[in-house]
Parts: sequence; C-alpha cells; structure tokens
Amino acid sequence: MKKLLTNLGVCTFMLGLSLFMSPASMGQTQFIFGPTSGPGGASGSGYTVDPQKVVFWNDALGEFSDLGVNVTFSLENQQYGPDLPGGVLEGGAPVNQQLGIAFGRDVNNANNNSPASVNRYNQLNGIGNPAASHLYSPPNSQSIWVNLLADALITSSGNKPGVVKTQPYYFGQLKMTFKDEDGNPFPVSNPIVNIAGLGGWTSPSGMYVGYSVGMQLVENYNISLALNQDETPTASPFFTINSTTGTIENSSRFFHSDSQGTTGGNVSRSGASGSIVVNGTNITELTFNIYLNMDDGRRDSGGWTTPPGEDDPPFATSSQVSGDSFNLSVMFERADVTVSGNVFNDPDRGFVNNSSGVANLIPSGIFANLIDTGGNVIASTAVATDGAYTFGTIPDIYTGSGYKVVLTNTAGTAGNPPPTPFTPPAGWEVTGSWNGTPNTGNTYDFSGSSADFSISGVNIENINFGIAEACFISANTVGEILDTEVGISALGRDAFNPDGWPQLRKGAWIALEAHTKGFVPNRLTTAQRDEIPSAQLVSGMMIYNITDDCLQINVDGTATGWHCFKGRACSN
Amino acid sequence: MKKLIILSGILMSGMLFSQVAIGKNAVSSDAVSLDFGNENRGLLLPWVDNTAAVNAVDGTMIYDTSDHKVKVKYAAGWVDLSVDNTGAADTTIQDGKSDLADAKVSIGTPTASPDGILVLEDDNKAMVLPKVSSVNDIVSPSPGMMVFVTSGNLLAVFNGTVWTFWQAVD
Repeated sequence: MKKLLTNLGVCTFMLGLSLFMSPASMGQTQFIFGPTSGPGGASGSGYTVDPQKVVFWNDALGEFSDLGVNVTFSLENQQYGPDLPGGVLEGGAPVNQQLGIAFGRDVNNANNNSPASVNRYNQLNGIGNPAASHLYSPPNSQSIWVNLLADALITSSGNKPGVVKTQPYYFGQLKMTFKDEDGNPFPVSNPIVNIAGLGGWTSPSGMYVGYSVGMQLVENYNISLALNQDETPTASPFFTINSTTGTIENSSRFFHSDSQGTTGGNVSRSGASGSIVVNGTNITELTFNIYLNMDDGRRDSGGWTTPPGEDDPPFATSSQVSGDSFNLSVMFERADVTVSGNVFNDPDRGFVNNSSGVANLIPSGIFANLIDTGGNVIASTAVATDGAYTFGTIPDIYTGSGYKVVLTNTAGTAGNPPPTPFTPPAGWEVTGSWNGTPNTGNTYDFSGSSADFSISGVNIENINFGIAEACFISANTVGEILDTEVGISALGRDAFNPDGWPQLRKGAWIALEAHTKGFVPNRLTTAQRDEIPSAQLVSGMMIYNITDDCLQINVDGTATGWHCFKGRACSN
Repeated sequence: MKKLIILSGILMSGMLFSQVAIGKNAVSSDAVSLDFGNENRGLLLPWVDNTAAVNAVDGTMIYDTSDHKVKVKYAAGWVDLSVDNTGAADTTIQDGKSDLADAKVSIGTPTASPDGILVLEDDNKAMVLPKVSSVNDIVSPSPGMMVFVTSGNLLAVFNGTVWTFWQAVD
C-alpha cells in the first residue's frame, strides 16, 4: 500500500525534489481509475478534443463509486490549430485532427498525413514502461491518453520563423473537473495526479531533437511528489517538480533512449513518469497549463548544441507526425467516517445538550437511520439501551451537506425512505435534537429527525436526541367547578339557549365556538413588539411573533422577558 | 377615544372592540388587547372540525376535535401542542350546527384577514393569558383550555384528558 501525502509534516528538499511526509494514513478508501477499461472510462479511440469523463473506482469495495463521482478532462485555450494564434499543424493531417492537444491521438513515425489512432482510455503504464514504484496509482489502472503535436512548430520547410529550442511553447490548458453523478461539484482533498511517459523526439536528417510535455498547475496549491510505502518518491529519474511554482517536467529532454530510467544525463523518449499530490482540500477543479519544453538546442546524445551558423533541426521530418504522448490519471483518498450520537435522558427538556454520552436509560425499540440527501436510508442501526448508536464505516463516498439522522420504530432499509412516522415508546416523549459538539442548541424538532449536517471526511459525533418520560397531568376534579359565563360563537346561538352554552363549558373566562374558525392572538414582528413601552408590559403577555415564528410569552413584564415557548416542559 | 368593554354573556358576530377585560374592570395597560381577572380560569379555544377546515393565518390556535389536540399554526404548518393522544371532547351541542360565514369578533382595528372567531388585530398590543399558579387550581376544565402557569412560567393546554406543558426555549 502506498501512502497519501498531505501538507502536514516535515518539508525536505533534495536534488530539486520537494517532499512532504506524513504518518501513514488509516482508514482510507482510494478512489482511482478503474482496473480495466470499461464502463467507468472514456470510450473509443482516435483523435478527439471533446471532454473525456471517467467515473471513479472505489478500490476498497471493488466497484464504481456509488455516487458516480467522476472527473472530466477538458481541453481549453488551445493555441495551435486552424484559426488559432499558433496556426495550423504542418503536414497532411486531416483538418479535424489539427488541434495542438488532443485525446486518443499519437505520433506517426512512418506517415506525415495522419496521426496514429489509439485508445482514449489506456493502461497507465502503457507509455514508456514506468516501474510500479514510479506511480502512485496501480500501474495497470487506466488513464486518459493525451497527445501534443510538435508539428505545430514547423512548416514544410523547417521550423516556423522565430521558433527556437531554448524556451517552452504554451499549447493550451487541460482541466479536470470533479462532479457527482448529478453534475454537482464534488470536492476532493489532496488529489494525486499520475503522469506517465513524458518525452518525445524526432530525427530529421539523422540529427536527434528532443522535447517533452511540461505542465504547470494554474490554481494556487502547493504540489509535492507522492511517496511509496518505503517513503521513496513515486517518480522516475528526471521527473521533476517545483512545489511552489507548480511545474512538472521531464528534466532531461535531449534524445538518447526509448527506455525510461536510464542514467547519465541522457534521455529519453517517454522517459519521465511520476505522481504528484496537490495539497489542498475541497478541490473541485484542477487546471494545468500545457507546454512543449525544448532541448535547448541539443541535437545529439553528446549534448552538443547546434553549432554557430547552423539552423536547429526542425521538430519533425517530412515523413513523420511528431510530438509527445503521455498518460494521465487522477485519484484521491478519503478517510472512512463514522456517524454517531446518542439518545439521552433529558428531564429538563431545555436548550442545552445535556448528553453525557453514557449511563442513559432508554427504552428499546428505537432505531437510528442515516439519511442521504435524497431522503433515503444509507444505514440503519438499533439504538442501545444506554442510548448510544454508531454507524460504522460509511460504505461509500458520502460527502457534502444535507445528511441527517432520523429515528424510527423499526429498522430502515438501505436505499428506501425511513419508516415513518416515529412514535416514542409508550410513556416517553422526544425533547428535541442536537447536532455536534460543542452544543449547537436544541432544534425543538420532536419528530425524531436531526438537523442536516455535512460529511467531509471526519467522524461525525453527537448527533443527539433527547428523550424523557412524558409528564402529562390529569385534570383536577376536586373542588368548585366554575361555569363559563362569556362566549363567542359562530354557530348563531341567541338568547334562547337550550344547549346551555357557554355555561356548559367549565373553568374558562371565555369560551370560543366555531367549526372552522380559530383564535388569533396579536401578531407582531420583533420590531413591533419592541415598540411596546416597557412600562406597559405585563407578565403573561402573549403574541404570535411573526419574525421568530413562535408563540411568544413575556414571563416577567420586562423588555427582556419575551421568550418563544417551543420547548417541552413538566409542571412541578 | 379608548373604548373599554367589560364582557358578559354571548357576543354577536361582527362586533369589534379596542381593548377588552373579562372578569375585571380595566385592562392592565394601554398595550393590552385582552385581559382577564384573578379567578382560576383559562381560555377555551374553539373546537374546530379539523385543521383543513380552518383558513388560518400563522399564529392561529384551535382545539382539533378530529384528534382532540390543541394546535397552533406556524409557518411550516400546524404544530401539535397536546402531544398526548388520549384527548376527548363531547361535541354534541355543536354537532349539526354550521358556522355563520361572517362570524368574527375583532379586538383592535379589523382587517379582511386574518379570519377567526376571535381575532386580536392590533400590531401594537398583546393579550395577557389567564394565569393560575397550578393547573390543579382549575377544577374539571373543558377540552381546548389554555392557561399560563405562573409557577415555573409554563404554557399549559388541556386536551380533555391531560394537561401538556411548554416552556421558554432561550
């Protein structure tokens, strides 16, 4: 197993490599490109500049992401092609293959009229034969095939005027966008980008010209090399990054060998491969500028530069479509999370979360259900009689907002709405719910449903529910029973009153009577309420507060005495 | 200017008042819309057929005879203030009778809405709940009763079988 690097830990510089090390990560699930070409990946072969989408593979479960989390690769700001600033590609490539960067296209060493056609979704180590230790993702996992044509920089008679081999040439941008299956942005943290097979060459007139694709991360994240289990960097020789500028390049670009990993300063077609960590959280988009980096005018294995007075050899011959192809994938890891809480005895029924987490006495027959954003059960578990419940490792990549816990009387079924409604066990009542630590305050939702919470890769704790033995009080029947002498009726009663209403009603100052009409107390906003002079406030005043949407009672006849009465209570 | 009415007997529909005291000679202050005396009595909410039958603005309070619960209308819908499911009420004397469509008593300046059998209209006044020190002070209350309990500062509602209590949340 390999380790995910984060920007926590010690920073070490050596040989131009910037490494960030961290303790081995625990409880991680890797989301990678699939182990085989198939439904998760881009399909087809041959040139295209259309966006290419790949659905992530949950490597822990051995299945595609349940949420359909995917990344789309798109090419933007192309510089070379018909009607673009850099002009058309040299040679006879069909017009529809003439953009500088493309998917599913390869060089062609035998024909100047058509680039080769390759699978757009390709095994990661399929170019340049990198070793397993050079890449963080499994080497047989899949990747997107990207190609950049050096022919953009030549004409039929040689290099375009002004093109030199001592500067990089900007070709455009490659963007990765992370989304779920519904098309909503899906934030990932510390994604790892695997790049295999950087480097290309051509040999016009027996002189060898080297070059390589280079990349630079546009977003302002620090990058570092991923590490193997033995803490060696996942990179071949000459795969070089600059952690602060975000550049990724093949540091040895003049021609020597087809194979990777050779030493001595001479390289290398397809020779540089490696994996980088983008150190950032909640990333939904990564953009790389794509360059063709030159060989500084070297034209042979000896590292000689072009002699004075001679032209640099051109970027391709009249019999080749030349360029650099490489494979690219991205992956991320996510900490497995648990969601837990407890149903606790809450005799005071108040605002504060009184849960101590232990030693509660809870009736059996209560189930807790973790509910997804669509209202369906992710997992269901019985609440223990000490009140505790825990959803163990959440089975897939549930991330984002809109999750909640709902109590039920029977176990819920994953994928279905929870059984409803929840009825507290006989003699008990729900006193509210609380989310998280520290105390967020009682929601005063008595339905057995928590407020929504977000899952972001850390354990969720203290999704709590209060429960108390109900304390309804029966009416006193001993003493003088008072008739109700005042009434307002909608039923057309008159002075001849055979029913004896309202005196038939007992114990009230006034009886109201209607089949379809209610009693409406004064309805005030908080601002209107506060305009009542404090000298005129009376203990026991009640309004419906429009602002706070509650029945509000003044408990002491002062301006600070107004309170919403939404909490369950017991009478002494 | 200020008209103070001391009520007794059955009120007719279409009546309106600015301030009302029942069981006492004067309201407690100029900011009081409806006030009550010192006897151990509550306020009886109208016994409506069900929530669907009521054209209610937020804040409307009822006693629902379909499930025998006191309820209040909030923005999200009707809230059950009784909670207990064992309420009961004898509706015999109102069965078979229908509401007069325009029956409404307003305290304060009436408006077309809200609708209700008794509507406290002003937005610069508040009612004072009838107060008792304990619900046991009210003997054999009728269903749909509401009262403020001064011992503990609780709102109490009676569903015909038991009292249910509510408290301040902040």
